[in-house]
Amino acid sequence: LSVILTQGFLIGLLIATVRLAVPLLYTALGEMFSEKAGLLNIGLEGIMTFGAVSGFFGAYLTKNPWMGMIAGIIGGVIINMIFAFATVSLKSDQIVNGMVITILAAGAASYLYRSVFGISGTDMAINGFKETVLPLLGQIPLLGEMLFKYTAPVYIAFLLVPVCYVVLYKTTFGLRLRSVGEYPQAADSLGINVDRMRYVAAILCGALGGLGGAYMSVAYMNRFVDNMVAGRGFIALAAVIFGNWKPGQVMVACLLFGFADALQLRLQAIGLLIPYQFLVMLPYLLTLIAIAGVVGKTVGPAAVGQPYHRGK
Amino acid sequence: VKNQLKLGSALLPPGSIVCALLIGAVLIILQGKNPLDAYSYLFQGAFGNMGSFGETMVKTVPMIFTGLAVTFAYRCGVFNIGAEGQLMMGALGTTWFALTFRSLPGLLLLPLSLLAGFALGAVWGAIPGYLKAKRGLNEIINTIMLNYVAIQLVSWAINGPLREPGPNPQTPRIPQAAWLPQLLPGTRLHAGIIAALIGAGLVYYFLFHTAYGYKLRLVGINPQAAQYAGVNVPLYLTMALAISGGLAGLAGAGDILGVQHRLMDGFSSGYGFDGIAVAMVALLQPLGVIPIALLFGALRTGANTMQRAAGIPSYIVDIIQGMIIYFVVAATAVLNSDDILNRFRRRARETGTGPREAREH
Repeated sequence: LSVILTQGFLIGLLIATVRLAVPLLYTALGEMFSEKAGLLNIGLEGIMTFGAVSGFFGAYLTKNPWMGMIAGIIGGVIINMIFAFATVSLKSDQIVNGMVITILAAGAASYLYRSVFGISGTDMAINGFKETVLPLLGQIPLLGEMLFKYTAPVYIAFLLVPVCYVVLYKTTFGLRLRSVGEYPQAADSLGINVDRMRYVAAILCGALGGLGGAYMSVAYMNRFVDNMVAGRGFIALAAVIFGNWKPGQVMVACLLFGFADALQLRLQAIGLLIPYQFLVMLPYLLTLIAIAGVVGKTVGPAAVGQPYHRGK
Repeated sequence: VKNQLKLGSALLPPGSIVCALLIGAVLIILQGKNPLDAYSYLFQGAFGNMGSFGETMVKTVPMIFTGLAVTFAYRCGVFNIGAEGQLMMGALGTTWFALTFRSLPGLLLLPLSLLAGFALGAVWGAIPGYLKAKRGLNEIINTIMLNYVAIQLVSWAINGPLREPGPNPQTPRIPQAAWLPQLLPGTRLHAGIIAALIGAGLVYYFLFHTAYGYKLRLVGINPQAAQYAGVNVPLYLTMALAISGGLAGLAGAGDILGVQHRLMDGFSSGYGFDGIAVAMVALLQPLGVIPIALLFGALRTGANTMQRAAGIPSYIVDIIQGMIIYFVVAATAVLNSDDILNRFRRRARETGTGPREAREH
């Protein structure tokens, strides 16, 4: 137990928590927009994986990690348009198409990587971001520099939380988006183009999910590896529900799930203190409990998961 | 018109498969390879000799069971995304039983081990089923979450209580008395295929030729009407997901008793998720699950040969499989959607083009 309570361990744990929360946060914020507009997208795992490979290629070709992040956004949007076309334009089932994205995009990512770097999937490293110390908080003596020194995408992720809040709750666009997810018939009768709003939400979801994936490959691991997203897409889905579809709470959920991830990785590394599997399980169990309404009540958008047919 | 629709949907799966294979062919051409060569390697790899045929069947068996699992639940109006977790729990139940009661004679040990797998899978399905039936909770998110809980539970079991002494995180081998008999010498094909075929027949018979099956489908089509007709809707919802979970559990149990003979890390290669694909492409027809599972099993098996011989990354199969489901589901939605047909008719009226029947509406 004494190993755990050392200062070095705790600081490492906190830093890892923040870093591991970031891909969840980007992706969960994207899913929040999607669900707020009535699109339940369970294909986040695929969007992230495709964002990861796109980001890797962007950074590898330009030798610039920022271009990698932009490529991740583009990749995520492209793959999510497959989902949006089927669910919004053709009104086909959101859950099945989410599964399609998961299978298709993850396969396409590994396929692309191997097509370029050979069947064995040779490991290629790329240059990531440099860490910068945060002003003000970073000035705190002793701990400041240790606890507030991250790469730029980490800061951007957390800055996006208030931005998303303002967009969703303080702008006309946000009001329209939410109305489409709550009561599309009413939104339609007020002249809001339901299909177009859902496309916009799908673009945001693809862009942010792609960013989450690109963060994994460009900023976190500096390489692309098959299956590197490793279930984080589903954890991000859980974070949206556990965070009650509200930006601030979603961020707290991502930090909590990031903490569980960081802790289990460290417990595995120092040998088994408690079975780490129960920590990996934590995000899913907490979400199940939250859904069951044991702790407070989670209420999602009313029309989430339902296709909208005009004239019904 | 109804007959046309019926014919249309019968042509959907083969049409979608052809389209997806064509897209795959384009990708192969982009690699600078000949698609006909690549696909013939794929076919040889799946059916070229007894060994490869056996491997294809070994992958087909769990896909039939998970495909049936998803079909069964969907017919009652519940979407079981949790077949992967139920499969893992089934494998765990079977392994635990076969190891704990190892001294039982094979005649008892084998069926009881299978039953244990069915039971644990059924429990894992009944949880979200009960939550949906009694509390109205969305089964989709719950089954996804339970997948990962199950995967971690199995990981804990094979690293902890069930781990055999030694370097590898795996259970000891189960006694030979519990193994499913081999069907073809020199291959891994086992009696699970017979069980899977019987299972498909039973699910078909149950759904379409018994009163219980009729009520179950009624709940799926219109729960309110079923309620008025006196059907115990919550009970049917729970039972549908429990039996669905049990079927998925059998997929895991069959793989343990017929192929792996022990539970180890990375045990399932996503058969539970494949089950969703199989069920959708089979248009939720229990007997249709068999050929679709065979197709996906063949794609998976042949992909390795194609990768080795033609240099096409085996991941192309995931793209093809994804496209097949995408086409089937999208086309079904278009066929069933008055909305889109109406839009088509409206455009036809406005422009004076399109089939006459469309213009007359």
